[in-house]
Amino acid sequence: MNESHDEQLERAQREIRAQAATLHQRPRQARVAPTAARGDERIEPRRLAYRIGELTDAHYRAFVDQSFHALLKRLPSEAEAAVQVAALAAGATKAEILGNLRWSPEGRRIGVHVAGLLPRYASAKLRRVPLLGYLLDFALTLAALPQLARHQRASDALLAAGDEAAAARNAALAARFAVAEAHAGSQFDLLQQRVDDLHGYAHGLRTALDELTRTLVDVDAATRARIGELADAGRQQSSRLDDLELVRRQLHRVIRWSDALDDAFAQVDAFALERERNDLVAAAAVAESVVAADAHRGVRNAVWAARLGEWLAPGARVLTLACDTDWPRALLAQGLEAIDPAPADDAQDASPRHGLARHADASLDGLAALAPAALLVDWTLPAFAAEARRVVRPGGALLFACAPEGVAVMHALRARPLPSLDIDLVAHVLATAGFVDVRRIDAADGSPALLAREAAR
Amino acid sequence: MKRIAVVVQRCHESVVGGSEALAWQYARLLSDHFEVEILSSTALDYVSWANALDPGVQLREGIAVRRFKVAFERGPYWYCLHTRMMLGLQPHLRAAGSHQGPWREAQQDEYIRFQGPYCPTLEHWLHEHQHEYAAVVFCTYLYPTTYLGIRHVPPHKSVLVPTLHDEPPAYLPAYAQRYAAHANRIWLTEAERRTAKRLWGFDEGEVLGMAVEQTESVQPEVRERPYLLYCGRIEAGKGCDELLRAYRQLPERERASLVLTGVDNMGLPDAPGIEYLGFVDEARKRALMAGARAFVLPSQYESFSIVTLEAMAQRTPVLVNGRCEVMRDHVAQSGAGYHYATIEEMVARMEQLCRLDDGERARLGDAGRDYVLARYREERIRQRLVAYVARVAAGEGSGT
Amino acid sequence: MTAVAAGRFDHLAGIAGNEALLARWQSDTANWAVALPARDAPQRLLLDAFALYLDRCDGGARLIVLAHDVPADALQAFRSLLARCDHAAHVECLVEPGDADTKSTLLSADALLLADAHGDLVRAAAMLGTPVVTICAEGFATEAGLAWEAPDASLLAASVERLRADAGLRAILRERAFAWISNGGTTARGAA
Repeated sequence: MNESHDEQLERAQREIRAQAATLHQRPRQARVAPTAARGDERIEPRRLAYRIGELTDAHYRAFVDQSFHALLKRLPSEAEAAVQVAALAAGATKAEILGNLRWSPEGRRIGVHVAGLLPRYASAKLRRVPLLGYLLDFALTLAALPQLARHQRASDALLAAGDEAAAARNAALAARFAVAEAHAGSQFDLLQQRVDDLHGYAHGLRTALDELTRTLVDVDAATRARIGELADAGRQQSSRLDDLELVRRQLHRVIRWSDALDDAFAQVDAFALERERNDLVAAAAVAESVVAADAHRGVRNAVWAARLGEWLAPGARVLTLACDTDWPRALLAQGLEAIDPAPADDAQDASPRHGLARHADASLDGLAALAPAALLVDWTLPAFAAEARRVVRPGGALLFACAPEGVAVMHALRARPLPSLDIDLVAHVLATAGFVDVRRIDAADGSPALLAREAAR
Repeated sequence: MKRIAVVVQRCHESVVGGSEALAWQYARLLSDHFEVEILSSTALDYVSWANALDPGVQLREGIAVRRFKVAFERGPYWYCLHTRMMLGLQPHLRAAGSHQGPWREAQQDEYIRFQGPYCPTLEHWLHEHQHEYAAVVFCTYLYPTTYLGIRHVPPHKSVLVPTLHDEPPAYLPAYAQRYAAHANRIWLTEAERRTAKRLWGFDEGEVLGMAVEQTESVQPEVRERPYLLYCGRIEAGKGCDELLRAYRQLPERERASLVLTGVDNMGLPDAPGIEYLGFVDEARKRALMAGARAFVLPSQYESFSIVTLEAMAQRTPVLVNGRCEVMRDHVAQSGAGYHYATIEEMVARMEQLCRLDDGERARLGDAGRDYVLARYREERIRQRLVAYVARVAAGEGSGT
Repeated sequence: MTAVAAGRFDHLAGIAGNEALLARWQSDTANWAVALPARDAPQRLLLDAFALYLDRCDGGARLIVLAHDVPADALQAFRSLLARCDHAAHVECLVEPGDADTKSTLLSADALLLADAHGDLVRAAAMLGTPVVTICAEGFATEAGLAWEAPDASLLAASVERLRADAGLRAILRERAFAWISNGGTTARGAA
C-alpha cells in the first residue's frame, strides 16, 4: 500500500480517536516516581511556604543566595547579588531584603509565602519614610530600651569572655612564632645557598639559550630561503599544471565535438540511403507498368531466344545481363539454362561489369544483354565486347539487343544518361573485338538486335 | 551543461580526509560532463570546525567551491551530549524499535547540529537555489551539512554518498529516518551496503566505489632489510597499537623491519626494527609500497581504504584486519593477501608474508593489481558515476 | 527558508541547551511539555489529560510546565489546581525559564501540548523537531502537528501514546513542521 502523508496522517488521527475512546477502560497503571532531580536541590522549586527564621539564619552573600533560591527559585546573577550585599552593608535589614525580593514583579508571580515577613518588611519600609520614619524608629528604639540594655549587658559579658580567649590564643601564637622565627633563620641560610645555586644554573641556561637562539636564527634564515625556493617552484609547477589542465579540457571538448560530427554524418547517410531506396521503389513501379504495356515483348523475347537456341545445344548455359526477370523463361522454353550474375556483396558489385568479372574465362555457353542503358553504366562498349569474349567459350553465342526492358526504363527514370547506340556500330565493335558471324536479328516491333559467335581460338 | 552540486563538510587542498577526498574526486570526475559546484563550510579543522577560510566562491583547479560560515564551534556542550550518547544511549539504540528511546529525535538533531559544522547559510542557499541544480550529491551521512542540508532538496534529485561504517552515531535512528526517503545512493562497497541494511533497514542504491588515481607501476624502493609497510595516521584508533604488539611478537623481526609513514599521533617507540619515515610524498609512498614484502592495514573502521588499494595496484600483498567487513571483502574478492581475526593470527600471517617465495608473492601481487584495475580504474569509475548522476539529473531516478 | 518575522524563540537552534536538565529528563518514560495557559479551563484540560495518561498509559510520566508571561494570579490558580491533584510529584514547573531551559524542555519532550495560542513556542518546536499536539488553539497551523477540534483530555493522552509508539507518524510530523517553518511558518487556524 502506498499511502500519501496526508492519508497516513488521517488514518493515524482516526486511530487515535478510537484509542482515546477506550483509554478509560484500561487498567490503572502503577505510579512510578520520575527520576529524581540532579540539579540544584537547594532551590526546591515546588516549595512555596517558609518561616522567616529559616531565611534569616545565613549571613551576607549566603543570605542573599538563599533568599533568591527560596523566593525567586533561581540563583542570583553576580550583579543582583552585588546590589543586595551593598544594601546589607548600607544598614538594610534582612527583612527589607527579603521583602524587596518577595514583592518584586518576579517574586509576586511565584508567590512564595514567608510567615512573619510582612510586618517586619512593612516596619522596615516605614522607617524609610522621611521624618515620620525617623520618629517611628526613635519611638520603637525608645520602647525597646530595656531589651536593648539586656542585650548590651549580655554582649559585654560575651566580649569579655572573647577577650580572655583571644589573649590566651595570642600568647600561644607568640610562643609558636618565636620557634618559627628560629627555624626560619636557619632555613634562610639554606635558602641563600639555593639561590646562589640557582643563579649559577640560570647563567648556564642563559648561555645555552643564547647559543640556541643563534642556531635557531640560522635555521630560520635557511628555512625561509628554502621556503622561498619551494614556493617559486610550486608556482611554476602550478602554472604548468593549469596549462596542462586547459589542454586536457580542450581535448575533451574536441573529442566530444568530433563524436557529435560523426553522429551528424551518420544521420545524413541514413537519410540519403532512405531516399535512394524510395526512388528505387518508385522507379520499379513505373518500369513495371511500362513493361506491362509492351504488347510485343512476348513475341520479341521468344524470337530472340529461338535464334539463340539455334546456335546453342540444349542445356547450354546462358548468362543474362541487363535483362528483365521474364527473359530467363523465354530461354528455358528453348531448352537453355539461364544463369544470373553471381550474387554481389554490395551495391557497387551489383553492376553488370562486376557481374561479368566474377565468371571464369570461357565458362559460359552464351551471353544475353538486352538493355544497353543498364549494361553500359560504368564501362565502354569495346570493354564489354572484350570481357564478353573472355567469358564465352569458343563457339558460344552473344545476343546483344536494344529492347525497351524494364531495367532500361528504371535507368532512365533515375536520370542516368542513355547511351545513344547505332546497332551497326555495335556490330562493328563486336566484329572488331573478335566475334564472328555477327548478324542482325531485329524484332518485329523494330527493336534492333545482334547475334554473334565467339570464334574458335 | 547541466549544473550539479556536491555538498561536503570541508573542501581544501590541505584537508586530508577520506570523505573529503572522495567528494573532491567525484566533483573532478563529473566536471567534464556537468557544471560542478562544491558547497562546503569555511572550516579546516574537523574537531573544532573553527572558521578558517573566507566564505564565498573560489576556484579550485577550475571547479567552483562555494563556502559557508560555520555558526558555532564544537564546544563543551556537545562533549556532554556525546558522553551521554556513548554511555547512556548506545545500549538502548542497539536494541531500539520504533518506540521512542531516551533521546527524542529533536535531541538527536541537537547532537548532530552541535557536532558541527553547522552552516545555516548553506541550508538557506540550498533552500533558495536547489532548483538551479539538476542533482545534488551529498557526501558523508554523519555531518549536519548532509543531515540538515538534504532536507532542502527533493529526493528525486538528491544523491547520497553515505560512507557509512559501523560506529556509534550511525545507530541514532534520526539518520535512518532522514535518509530513508532519499533513495538515490552510492555505496563504496558491498559491505557498506550490508551495514546500511543492518543499521538503517534499507540498502537501495548502487555500489560504485572510488577511483584509485595512482595505478602506474613504479620502481620499488630498495632498503637495507625487507620490510612490512603501514601508511596513514599513526594512532590507536587506526589499530597501530595492535600492529606494534604483533610486530614485537614476530619471530621474523630479526630480519624484517616495520616501516611506518604518516602523522604520528601515538608516539612511536624507539625500538629495533621500527622505522618511522614521517610524512612522505605520493611518489615515495608508492615506491615504498612497491618494495614492501607486504602492506599491513590494522584499522577496524574503514569505509573503503584507498591506500590499501594503491598498495595492491603496486602488486604488493596485503594483510588487513578481518574485523573490518570492507577490508575482508577486498581481500576475499581479490585474493591479494590475507585477513586476520586475532593478534596471534596477525603475527602468523605477518610471518608468512615475510617468508613468501617470489612466485607466490607475484601471484598475490598480480591478483591485487588485476582487482584494482578491473574495478577501480579512474575511467571506469568516471563512466559509471557520470551515467548514474546523469540518470538522476534526467529525472530517471536511481539505478538500483 | 524564506524571510519571516522572527519569533521570540527562533534563535534556540543556535544556542546550547541546559545540559543538566537534559540529563535529568533523559528517560524511557514519557515526558510531556506543556505551555501553561492563562485561563482556567485549558489548565484543567491539560492536567486532566496528563492524569489520564499517568493512570492508563505510563505511570512514570513527567509533565514539564513552561510558564512564559503568565500572570501571577493564573500561576497561583494553577498551583492551587496542582496542589489538589495526587500527581504533583510528576510535575515540574519552570516559571519564566531561560532560553536554555526552554530548549532543553522541547528537546526532552515526546510532544509539546498546547491548549491555547503559543505561536512562538510552536515555531520553536517545529524548528527543533518536537511534535506538537494542540486543542483548537487560536493561531495554530495544522501543518505543524496534531490539532484536535474538541477539548478532550483523552485525545491528548492518546496522541502522546501514539506518538511515542509510531516512528513513522513522528517522521511525517517532523517533515511537515519543517516544511511549514521553511516556508515562513505563518499560522492559520484549523483543526483535525
